[in-house]
Amino acid sequence: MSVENAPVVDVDEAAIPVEKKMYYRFESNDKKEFRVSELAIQQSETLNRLVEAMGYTSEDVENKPAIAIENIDGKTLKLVFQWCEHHKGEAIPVDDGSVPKIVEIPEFDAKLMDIDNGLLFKLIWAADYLNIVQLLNVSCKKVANMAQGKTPAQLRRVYLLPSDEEDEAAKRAAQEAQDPRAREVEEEFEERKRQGGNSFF
Amino acid sequence: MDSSHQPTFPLLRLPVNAQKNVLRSMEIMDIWSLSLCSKTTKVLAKSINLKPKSCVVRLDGLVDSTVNSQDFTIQLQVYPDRNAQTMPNRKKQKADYVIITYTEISSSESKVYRSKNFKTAGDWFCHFSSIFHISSVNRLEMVQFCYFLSVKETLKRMEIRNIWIYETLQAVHARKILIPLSRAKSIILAKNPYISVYEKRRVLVQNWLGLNLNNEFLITIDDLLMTNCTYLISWWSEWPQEMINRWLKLWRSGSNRNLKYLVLAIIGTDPNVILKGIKYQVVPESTVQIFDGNDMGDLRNRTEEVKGGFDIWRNDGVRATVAIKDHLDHWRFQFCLWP
Repeated sequence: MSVENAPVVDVDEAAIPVEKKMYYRFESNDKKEFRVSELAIQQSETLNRLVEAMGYTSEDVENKPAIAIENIDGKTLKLVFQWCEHHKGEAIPVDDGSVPKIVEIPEFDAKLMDIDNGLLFKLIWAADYLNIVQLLNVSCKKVANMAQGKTPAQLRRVYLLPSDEEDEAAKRAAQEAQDPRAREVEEEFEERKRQGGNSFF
Repeated sequence: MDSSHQPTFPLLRLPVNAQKNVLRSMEIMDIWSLSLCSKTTKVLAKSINLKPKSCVVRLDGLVDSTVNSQDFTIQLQVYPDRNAQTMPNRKKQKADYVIITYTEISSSESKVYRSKNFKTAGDWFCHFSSIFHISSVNRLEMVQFCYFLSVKETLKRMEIRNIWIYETLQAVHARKILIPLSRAKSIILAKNPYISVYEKRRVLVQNWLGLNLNNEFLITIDDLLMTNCTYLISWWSEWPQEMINRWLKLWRSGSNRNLKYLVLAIIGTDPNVILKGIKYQVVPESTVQIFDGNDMGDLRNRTEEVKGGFDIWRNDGVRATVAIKDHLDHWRFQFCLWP
């Protein structure tokens, strides 16, 4: 996909200080390209460290290929960068360890997260991967709100929680699907144990 | 709403960090509900480290546990299965349901829970203590014997700081409880469950930090000399002033070395008799000394003002103040040791 055709996130340029006016190019795993301001990138600890380590100049940003983010698709990354641009320059919250955590979802974030749960799921994964603390907080708060006032039975349905029996069955299936050689060794060990042998080797 | 149209979200497929973030953003009642869904969700609920400051367990026909945090209070009340009460072995009586009440500064919410997995009050209490990381009970209040909870079994791994034995608890049950729970730090006895002196002394010789004895639980000078506690309050043991004098002389020579605080009822208020043969110094009534009993737990107020009195000294130079106070129409002898 060419740079000309890449979707560009709306940026309020007047709000960006002159000395920070540098835009980085990122590419999602489905080859969609995004231009994101340096200030917005600071919301993501992962990306901020990455660009710092790369030490790109303005020319490098234009001439070198876009930085690939292989774990995240374009639709999700668009939401992530929209959020970062809106909240650029804001302080990153420090976790004080309190429970329940006091998180308020601002109007912009609520509109941004007015999406289906599949995309919300991807958004949380992306926020966690890119280490965007406040985006992770608000998106997790939205998931937490789904539990409000529900009984354990309702929570099982909402959060697709397997029962203990289903967990056990899944564990057994995973064991059975493991490396056949490892399974053979395990069976041999069990057989020797049955025969009363103390030493396996 | 039809559950088939309800949107779903695969919580357990999120990264662990995000799963914990979701739980920490939930209301406490929702975290509790989630912890009951499966073993996996219980582990997840435990992992967010909800650690309230204190826990009080009250046994009053039902099991009533309350944990307090800076911002909220959670109460678990386990009710017995009334239908099964006529069963020959009431110890095996099952728990029927529990009520959880969450209280914040401005609001309170209660919910009823039933579970096939939790058959006894002990099962519920273990789950509760596991989610809220309760390793010590600040106060165990025994109001009535609880047939459907084995206190010894359920609390065996917990530190118990204070036990309150209420007048309403039958003596036979109080006796059963006291010796197994003697690892508690202090005890408040509203009744004397012992008939024989030997049995009573078995309790007194446990290494309590504090003892608060009410009503019929009277102690003699021999009882006091054999206890090893730091704080002792006996509201109704009326000692003649000559006996107090005898004990003070023994204390001066090294008896009850750990004792820091003592309150007894006294007959007679003549300082010349109480302090006969003891070197003392009058403390003016205007002098207020603050006794710091911070480790006294629930026995009494944590700090106490001592106005006036008489300063006396042990043979190693340690100073104590004795005072006679009018309290609830009785004269009380008060003894405070200073560090």
